[in-house]
Amino acid sequence: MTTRLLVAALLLLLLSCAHLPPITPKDGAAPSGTGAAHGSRRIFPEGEWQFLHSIQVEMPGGRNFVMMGLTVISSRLQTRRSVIMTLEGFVVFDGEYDHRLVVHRALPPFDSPHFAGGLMDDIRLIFFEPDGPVVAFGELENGSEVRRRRTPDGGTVDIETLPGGNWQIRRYSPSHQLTRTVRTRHGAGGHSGFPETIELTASGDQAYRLKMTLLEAVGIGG
Amino acid sequence: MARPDKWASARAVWLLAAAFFSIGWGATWEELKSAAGPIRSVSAEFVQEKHMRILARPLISSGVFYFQAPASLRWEYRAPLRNILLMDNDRTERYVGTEAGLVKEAGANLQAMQVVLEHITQWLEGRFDENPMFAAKLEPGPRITLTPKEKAFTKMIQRIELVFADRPGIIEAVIIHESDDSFTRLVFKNVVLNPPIDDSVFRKVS
Repeated sequence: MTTRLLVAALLLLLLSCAHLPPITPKDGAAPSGTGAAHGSRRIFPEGEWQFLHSIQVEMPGGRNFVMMGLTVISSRLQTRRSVIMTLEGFVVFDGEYDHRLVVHRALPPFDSPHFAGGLMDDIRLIFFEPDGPVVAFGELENGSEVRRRRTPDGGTVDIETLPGGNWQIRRYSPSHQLTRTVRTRHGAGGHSGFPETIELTASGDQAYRLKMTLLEAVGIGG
Repeated sequence: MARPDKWASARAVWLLAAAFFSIGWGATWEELKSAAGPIRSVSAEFVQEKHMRILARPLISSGVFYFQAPASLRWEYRAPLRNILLMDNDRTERYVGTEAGLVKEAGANLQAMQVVLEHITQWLEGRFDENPMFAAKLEPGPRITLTPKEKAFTKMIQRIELVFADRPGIIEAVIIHESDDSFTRLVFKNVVLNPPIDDSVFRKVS
């Protein structure tokens, strides 16, 4: 009992100590623009796109498997649709967000109430510019340039630009706990300038990692 | 997040489709069974088109397929993502292409694939009408429509259509309807019946 209390107290202490990485403002630099571009590359796709990724899923306990993920987005309409398939193309989840979440198809275990919402949140973090004002702009301790946004739910999103035209997005809860990290890597070839791989790491109790490798990017319409 | 047998079995329908290559051309169940009799092995290439209403253009996959009676199968996608399913008697393995090369994927769902081989063997013999999972309807063309017997299963797959080629023994396409706005078409080419296939094809990925 005493041990449990100590552990709980320690956890509370750690939680209360959580803090956002310090940002050193750049001399004379003020937040300008949206921060949606990194050099010639857009961090968040503009227009309507259809992406096909292979998704390597790493779950706690060493459980790993690979699925196919189809994502259709519109930056203008702020809509997104996600289809998860087996490698054979069999659809196990099909859901969309168009001002509200609609699940068209969900087979176990993708039919849990939390899965669809969590998936749409992850897609939003990867493909859409976050809501909320830029509250800080400068450099992290590692020298990377970063823009910090305060999101409407009280959380924080840091968008950090990295060498090679890559970027890292970190989302923090209102209590400054790191909840998601998105890291991109661009390859040498095509794909309209989109990252060759996107790695999303979910931290906390429901930890998992998704390594998404871009197979196809198709512009829709104009 | 263990994948349940339910849709692991459903995904296996893609593999079951492989069995249809070698079904003989005929207008009756008896003719189908008769034509399927001498088939012991099959090799073919395939192109898989995934059609969904939301897609700007269908998703295209391609690969090769080998079957050796009674219970050996290699179903290999070569593009856009290389992955290979090997089934050889009671052993089933899947390998998926990653940056580190082909990596063996472990998972309980592969056990469900074992039952697939039983179906393949059955269907290779032309015994569509004896499958416990599907009600089979032979239509002019000829064309076979398979409809799940269990209503719950129709939520995963509505029906499967098998379209035969003019050449006896060869099927032209398999169309798997998942829902009203989603279907997959498998089109086969370079089908070879009864080729000699080395055992290693079903045991080694390379």
